[in-house]
Amino acid sequence: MDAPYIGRLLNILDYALSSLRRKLLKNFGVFTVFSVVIFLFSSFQLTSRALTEIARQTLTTAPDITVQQMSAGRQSSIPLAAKEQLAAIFGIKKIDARIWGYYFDESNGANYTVIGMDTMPDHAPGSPWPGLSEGRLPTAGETGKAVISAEMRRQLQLGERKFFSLFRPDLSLASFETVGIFSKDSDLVTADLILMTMGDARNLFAIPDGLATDLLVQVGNPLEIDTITGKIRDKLAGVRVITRAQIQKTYEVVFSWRSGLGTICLLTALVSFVILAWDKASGLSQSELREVGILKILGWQTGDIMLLRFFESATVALFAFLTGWLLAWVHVGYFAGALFRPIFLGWSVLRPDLAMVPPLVFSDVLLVFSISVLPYLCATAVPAWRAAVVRADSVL
Amino acid sequence: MTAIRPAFWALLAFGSLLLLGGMLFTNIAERRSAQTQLISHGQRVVADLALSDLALTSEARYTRHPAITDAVVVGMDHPGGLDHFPSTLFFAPVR
Amino acid sequence: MLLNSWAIALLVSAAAAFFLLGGAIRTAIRVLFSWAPEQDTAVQIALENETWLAALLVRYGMVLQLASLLLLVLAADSFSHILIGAMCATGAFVANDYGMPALIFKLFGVFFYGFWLVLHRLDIRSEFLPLTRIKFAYLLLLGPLLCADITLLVLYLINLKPDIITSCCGVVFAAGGAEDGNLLGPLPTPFVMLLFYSTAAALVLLALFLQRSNRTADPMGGMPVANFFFGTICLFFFILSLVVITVVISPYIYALPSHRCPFDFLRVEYYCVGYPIYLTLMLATFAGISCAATSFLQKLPGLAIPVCRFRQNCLRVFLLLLPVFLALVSWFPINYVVKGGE
Repeated sequence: MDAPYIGRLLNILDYALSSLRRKLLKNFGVFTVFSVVIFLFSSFQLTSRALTEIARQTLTTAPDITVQQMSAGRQSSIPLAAKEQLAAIFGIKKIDARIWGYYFDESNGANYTVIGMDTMPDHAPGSPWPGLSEGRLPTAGETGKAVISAEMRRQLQLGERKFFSLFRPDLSLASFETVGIFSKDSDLVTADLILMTMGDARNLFAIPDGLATDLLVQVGNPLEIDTITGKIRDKLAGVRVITRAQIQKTYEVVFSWRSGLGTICLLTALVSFVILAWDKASGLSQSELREVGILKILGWQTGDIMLLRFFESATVALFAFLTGWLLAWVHVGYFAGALFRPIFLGWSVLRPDLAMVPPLVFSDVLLVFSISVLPYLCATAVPAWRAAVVRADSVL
Repeated sequence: MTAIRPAFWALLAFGSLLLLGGMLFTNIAERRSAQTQLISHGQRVVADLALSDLALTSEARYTRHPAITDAVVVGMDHPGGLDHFPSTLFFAPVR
Repeated sequence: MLLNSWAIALLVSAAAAFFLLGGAIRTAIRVLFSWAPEQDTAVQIALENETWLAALLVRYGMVLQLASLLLLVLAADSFSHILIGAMCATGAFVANDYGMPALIFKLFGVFFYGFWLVLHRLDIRSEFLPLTRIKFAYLLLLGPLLCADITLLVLYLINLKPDIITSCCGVVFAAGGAEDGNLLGPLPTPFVMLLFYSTAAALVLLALFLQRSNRTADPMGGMPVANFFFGTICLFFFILSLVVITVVISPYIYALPSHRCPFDFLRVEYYCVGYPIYLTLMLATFAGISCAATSFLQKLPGLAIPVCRFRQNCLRVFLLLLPVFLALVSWFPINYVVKGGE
C-alpha cells in the first residue's frame, strides 16, 4: 500500500476520533452499555469454559464402569448377587459394591452426599491419605466413624467437637465421630461428602443386607470397556451401565446446552443494545447534518464519510470489546464468576471453594466477537450511509 | 505535524488495554500452572473414592450428580412437578 | 442443537448477513428497473446514493461471511467434543448430510461477495459507471446463494444430534474411503504431487506472461484465451490444493501418517499453521480469478486504464502469495525428508 493511501486513512481516523470526543457523552453511553453486554456474554462463555475444563481434567480418574439397577425409571438398590454374576465376565479386574445416597439436613436445609465404602483407599502406611487435611480414614471394621469436609463441619456447627448425629428413616439417631476432615484442595469434589464404612451407611439408610446402591467395575484393559459394558447389560436385566467416557461426555455438554439458554437471555440484551445503537446512530441532529455538508463542500466523498462513520463505530466497538472481555476475565478468574454463582449454586447450602482460571482460547474470543461486535457494526451501517449521502446544498 | 494526533492517543489507550490484558494473561497463566497441582490432587481423590461428579451444587440430585443419576426431566419428582431448581439453568439435560 | 452458543453465534451472523444483503438487493431491484445514467432526475440521484449503501452492505456482508466461515469451522471443532465418534471438525461436518455442503457454500460465498466488490471498485473508477447494471444483476444472484447458505446451515444445526455416531477424519479421508479418497485412490501420490507443482509452475509462468503483456500491449486488448486459461487453472489449482493439503500434506504436519485432516492444523497444538496456509491460498486464488475475470471488462468505456492497473495489482498479489503458500505447504514434507523423519 502506498503512503498517500495510509495517510488519508489516518487523517480520516483522526477526524473520527476527534468527532467521538466532541460527542463524548453519547458515545460514552454506548460504550458503557456495550461493554456491559460483552462482559455478560464473555463471563458466561468463560465460566462454562473453565468449568468444563476442570471437569474434563478432574474426572479422568472416574470409575471405569458404574452399574445401577433401574426400576420404574428410577434408580433402585442393586442386589449383591449381581456381583457374583458379573465376576464371571472375562476382563473385569475388580468389582466393588458401595452404598451412597443423599441426606437432607432439616436443621440447615443442606443436602449431604453420604458414601459408604468397604475398601478404603490405599495409602502409604505411616502417612495419612493425601485427600485429608487432618485425621485419618475410618478402617474397615469400625463403626460410627466418618470423614467430612471443612465446609460441612462449619455447617453442622461442630467447632472442636467430634460427634454429630444423623436421623435414620425411622427418626432414631445414628451418632458419628469425625475421624478426619477432607482437604480443602479437593473441595470441588468433596464439599458435601460424608465418607463412612459401608456397614454404617447401610445402618443409616436402613438398606437391607444383600443390597447396595451401585457396583463399581474396574476393567483391566481400558479398550475393552465397551465390550464389557455390553456383556454386563446382557447378564443383568434392567441395569443402567455408565462408563467413564459417558461421565466425561456428560461434562462436555452439561455446561454448554443450558449456557446456550443463558446466551438466548443475553441475546435479548444484545438486541436491545443494537436497537439503541441504531437509534443513536440514525438520529442525526441539525449540527451533524451541517458538519457533513461542510465536509462535502471541502471535498470529502460519500465513501470517505462512510469510512469516517465506520471508524467511529469500530473504535467504540473495539474498546468496548476489550474492556468487556478483560472485565469478564477478572470477574471469572478472580471472583469465581460471582455474578453467576448464585445461578449454578442454586439453593445449595454447602458451597465449595471454587477457583476458576479460564484459559485464553481464540475461539471463545471469536465467538463473543461475532455475537456482539459484528451485529453492532451491521446496525450502524445504514445510519452511516444515511448520514453520508446528505447533500451539501440541502443542509447549509 | 506539531500536535500529537488523536490516532496516537487512541493507539496508546488501546495498547495499554492490551498490555493490561497481557498482564492479566501472565497472571492467569501462573495461576493455571498452580491449579494443575490442585487438579492432580482432585484426580487422586476421585480415583480413590470412585467419585463421578463435581460438587458444584448440592441442591438437586441431577445437578449434584448429573453423570450418574437421572436426567433432568420435567415432572420427574412427582407427576406434574416442574424442574424448579435455579442451578438447572446452568446444567443441561443429560442424554 | 440450535441452542448451543456456537449455533447461536452462527445464526446471529446469518441473520445479520441476511438483513444486509436484503437491503442491498432492494437497491439492486430498483437500480435494474430505473437506472438511467443520462438523466439528472431526483430518482437517479437517489439511486446513485443508494449504490453506495449497497456497496457498503455487501462489504459488511463479506466480512460477516468470512467471520462465519471461520466460526463454522471452529464450531464444528467444538461440536466434535459433544458428538460421539467425532474427534475433530471433520467428524462434526459429516455428522449429517448438510455439514459439508454448508461449508462449501460458505467458502465459495466469500469468493462471490469478493467478486462483487471488485466489480464495484472498478465501476466507480469510471465516470460512466458502465458496470452498474451488471453488478446489480450479479448482486441479485447473491441472494439465492445466501438463502441456500443459510438454509443449509440451519438444516445442519437442526439435524446435529449429540447421540448420533459419526466418523472422523481418519475414516473419512483414509485412502480409498470417502470422496477425497476415491478422488485420489487410483492416483499415486507422486503423480498428484507432480500435478500439483507443475500446475503451480504453469500458473506462475502464465501470470508472469500476463503481467508482461499487460505492461506492453495496448490496454484495450485483453487476451481472452490466455486469461480464460489462467482463471480456470486457478480454480482447478484451488480445489487440487485443498485435496493435496488434506491427503498428502496434513499427515506431515501432524507427523502421523494416518492422520489426514484439513481442520486440525488450525488448532493451537499445531501452531495455527492452517490459518496462513488457507489465507494465502484463498487470497492468491481470489486475486488470480479476479484478474482473469476482469480482463473481459477492459473494452468498456473508461475502464481500460483502471482495469489494467487493477489486473497488474492482482498479478502482483498472486505472484507474491502463491510462492508463500507453496513454501508453507512444502515446508512440512521437506523438513520431514531432510531430517529423516522424527
